Amino acid sequence: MYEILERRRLVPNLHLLRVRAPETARACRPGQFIMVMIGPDGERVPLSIADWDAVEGSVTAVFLIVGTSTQKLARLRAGDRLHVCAGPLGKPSEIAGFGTVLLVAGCYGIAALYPAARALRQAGNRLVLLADVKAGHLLYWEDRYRNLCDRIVVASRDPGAPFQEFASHAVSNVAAKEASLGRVLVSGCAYLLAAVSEATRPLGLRTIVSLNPIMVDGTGMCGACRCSIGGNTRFACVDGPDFDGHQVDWPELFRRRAAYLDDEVRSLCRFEKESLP
Amino acid sequence: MKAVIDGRVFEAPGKTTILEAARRLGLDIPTLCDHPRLEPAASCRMCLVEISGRRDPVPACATVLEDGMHVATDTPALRELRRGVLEMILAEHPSACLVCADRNACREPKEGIRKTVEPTGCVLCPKDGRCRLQDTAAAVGLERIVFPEAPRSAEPRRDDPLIDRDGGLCILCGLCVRVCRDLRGASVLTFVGRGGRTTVGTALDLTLLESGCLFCGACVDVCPTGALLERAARHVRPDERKPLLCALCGEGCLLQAEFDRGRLLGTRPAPGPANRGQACVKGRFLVADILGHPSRLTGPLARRDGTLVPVSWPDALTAAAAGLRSSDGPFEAVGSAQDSCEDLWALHELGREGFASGRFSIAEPPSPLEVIRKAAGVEAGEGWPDVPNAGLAAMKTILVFDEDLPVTAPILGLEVHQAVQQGARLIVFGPGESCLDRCAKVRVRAGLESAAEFLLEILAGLARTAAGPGHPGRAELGPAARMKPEESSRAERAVFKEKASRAAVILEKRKPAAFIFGPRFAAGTQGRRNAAALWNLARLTGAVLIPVAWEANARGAQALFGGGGKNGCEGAPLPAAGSLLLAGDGPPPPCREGAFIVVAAAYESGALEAADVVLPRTLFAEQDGTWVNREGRIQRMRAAVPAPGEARPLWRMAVDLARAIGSGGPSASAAGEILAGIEKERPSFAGASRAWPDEKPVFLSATAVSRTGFASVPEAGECSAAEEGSRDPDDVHGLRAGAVLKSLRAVRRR
Repeated sequence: MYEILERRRLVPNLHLLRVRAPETARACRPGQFIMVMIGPDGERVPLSIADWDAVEGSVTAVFLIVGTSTQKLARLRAGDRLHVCAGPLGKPSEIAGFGTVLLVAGCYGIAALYPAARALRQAGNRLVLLADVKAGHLLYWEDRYRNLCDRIVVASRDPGAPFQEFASHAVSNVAAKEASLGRVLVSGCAYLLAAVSEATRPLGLRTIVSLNPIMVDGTGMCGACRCSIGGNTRFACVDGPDFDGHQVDWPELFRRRAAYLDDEVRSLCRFEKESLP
Repeated sequence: MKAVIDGRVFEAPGKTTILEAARRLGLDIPTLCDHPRLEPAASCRMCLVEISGRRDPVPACATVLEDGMHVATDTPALRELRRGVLEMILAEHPSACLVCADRNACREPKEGIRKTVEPTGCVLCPKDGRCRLQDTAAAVGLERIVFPEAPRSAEPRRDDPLIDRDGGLCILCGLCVRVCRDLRGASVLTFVGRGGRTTVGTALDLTLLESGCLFCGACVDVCPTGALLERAARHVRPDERKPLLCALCGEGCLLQAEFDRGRLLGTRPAPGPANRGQACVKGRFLVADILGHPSRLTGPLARRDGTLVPVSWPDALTAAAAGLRSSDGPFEAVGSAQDSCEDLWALHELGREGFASGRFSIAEPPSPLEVIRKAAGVEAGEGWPDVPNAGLAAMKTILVFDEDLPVTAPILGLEVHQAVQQGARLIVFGPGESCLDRCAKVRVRAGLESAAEFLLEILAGLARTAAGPGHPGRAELGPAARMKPEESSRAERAVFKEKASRAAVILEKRKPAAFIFGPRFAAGTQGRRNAAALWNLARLTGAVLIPVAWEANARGAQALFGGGGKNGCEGAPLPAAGSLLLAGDGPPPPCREGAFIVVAAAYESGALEAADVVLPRTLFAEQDGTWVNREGRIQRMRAAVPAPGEARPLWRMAVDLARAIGSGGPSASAAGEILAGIEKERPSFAGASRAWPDEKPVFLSATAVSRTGFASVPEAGECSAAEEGSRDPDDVHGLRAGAVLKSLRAVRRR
């Protein structure tokens, strides 16, 4: 059992979860994820690691409420316990001196890219954050990034925002102002990953996306997270989650992500009816 | 009255608003706060129009069209004005998706994350694609966002059953507040706070449940955005819609059933003739739960070696026919006032013609209508002057006896509330509480055992003035009016007398009046006393009587069989039955030891314990059928929902059993054939086969009751208190919905 140290709503739909998991915290690397189970008969939910504290022995993740399990997760409070918190899982992100790195993040990805940003900064890179939010009040952790990034650009539909369109349209504009852009890292919703990858393809920018297919065990056994990367089948849990965005078969990923939509909706409807206050 | 709107001439005799007139001309004026059944509020300012000669634009919804007016509904200045208003509305509503170039591309990939709980944009919103704000933005031609988004409230409230409230999506149109207060009379929702911090909420920020909400869902249905949502259905998108007639009470509401690949998702009220777009908690939220309850029976069962085992339909029918044929003693078929006319008629025919000594009865106690007919001595063959809902509006006084109308007859409840709003005086008698109490002019909190005393007190007062020596039936009324009141304390007596005299004054001055009473008022022998006293008061004041039964087809059963009730229970006791076909919920009629019992049931229940054969039956939405609502409105409906497993309609079981027994009885291959038979044998059902919801309404052909005299009121000593029993208006064919459905249990505060 893993004690929850903190669970709070950051912005609408996005919640921060800090769990006591000392062994995981000792081994965490940027780009990895944990697998949590709320109860003994719940499903396993993969969450990108947003931060960790080896001294406190805690791991932090930011998750989006997107179904029955995440709704249950968002109802837990400090002191409650998770049945399982396994990790760190997945290959760590590649951290090296790339020159300038553009981080494109939206939704939970703003938190998920934070460990990589910290490591890339330590590796001497110049960092530019392009955060996509629908409205200014939905942006979080700006203060954390301010300490790491040389430039923060917010793409939001609010008037007065530097970019009022979706982040993928802003990428080329932001990239044009950066001389030695060596890499683009993207994390967030699948549409953002795909759209940014398509936007950087003509620019020839190496783009690494943190892929988020449906995952069941997270250790390469079930194959639920299979995806096609450059024509080869890969498992996002053990071969990724970082992949070259220009190699991903996006239509297939979207289809696979929606494979259980009916069951997910049915389960959620039942949960909504039965879990009365 | 003649006026010109956008260059087109509009002519109409009566008063009409500019908005109505424009709509009748086929002109589209965007609105966000108008509702056909509510007084205009002109709060959204989207329907502004120009009138020549007037300096400022006026709201079309709240401005009456005058003779000679020249109105422009679409000018560059108006378009600019509307855009400006919309931009301000959108400053407090998630608007990013309305202007995002990627909104169509990202819709499909984001389908999965629509299951979120706080929509921050249209693609994540359950109302996406059916949102009045989206439609308005398209109509106005919104291209840009001018003000930064500043949400109006923090987290959504999800602490109530069935309904979610998300203040972040609210545009303060006020429709929910108005429909709750003005139409439903609940006054649960209200505006909270001031200025820029105004939100829609409840007094003291309580939950809806704590605020007395009945969860009729009217607020959810009028909400133009996703601020008020049905929780369980928020994540699903229907691909098919069909009309469905609700048979969970006697109101006969037309609903729209929503399906996803054939699976019933839920229902919402349709603008049916009886309910005109309104429903109650059961019809709005729980039809799918009731029809799809896990305790539904899906296949026939037969008793083998003492236990019920699944069998095929042919085997079940053979076993039932053999058992029924070989048992000694009379056969009795027991139907329910919840059953369709076809079901009841087929059962009745099976009882009448299938067996030499067969008979038929209705499981429920006699309906309030039957009780008052008997008390008054109205002939069995006579019709009854039903009062349509629309007739309530003309009433000046309404007297309600212990019927929590918003629960037992919700549509009648809101018609009563409407009448009160239009000036009718409401007198409520009974021990229970209801949201109608707060608009009652006289509220008598007393048990129904003293209802007759109250009525006699009024009668005594009125008889002196109203019924002079020449008044018909004066002689009969005399002894009733002089009847001694019950023993009670002097103080109580004084209050009682004072309230009765106030009620008498209202009844004398304000006519016409309507008296509404239900099963509790009419229950037991005391019910006969109550009914006789009420009949007399109605004769004296010329009031109309509106009996409210809880069952969907109580009115139909009464018209078919003269009241149902325990047929034959009055008078000489019938010999105990030797075999039974039980289709109604309730205690079985007296039967012999070891009688053969066939149970036609929809749900697993205690009734199955005594059954030799169990036949699974369909419910209202799963079969073709005809129901007669409280108004006497005949309504035919086709099956909308697939039957669970092998369940069959009751009428078909009766037909199949008659065939298996090999004797006379019903024979039909469709419900319509049975209805044609009913039409032939029961003149009051004339035209019933044309009674589809989209056709001209058909009512039971009513005749004025010929009996005009007063009834003799039995002495209090002759009456016993009502046998309360365990009846519950939320029971559905044996399913105790108010107990087994968690959300309904919460809503009923159990």
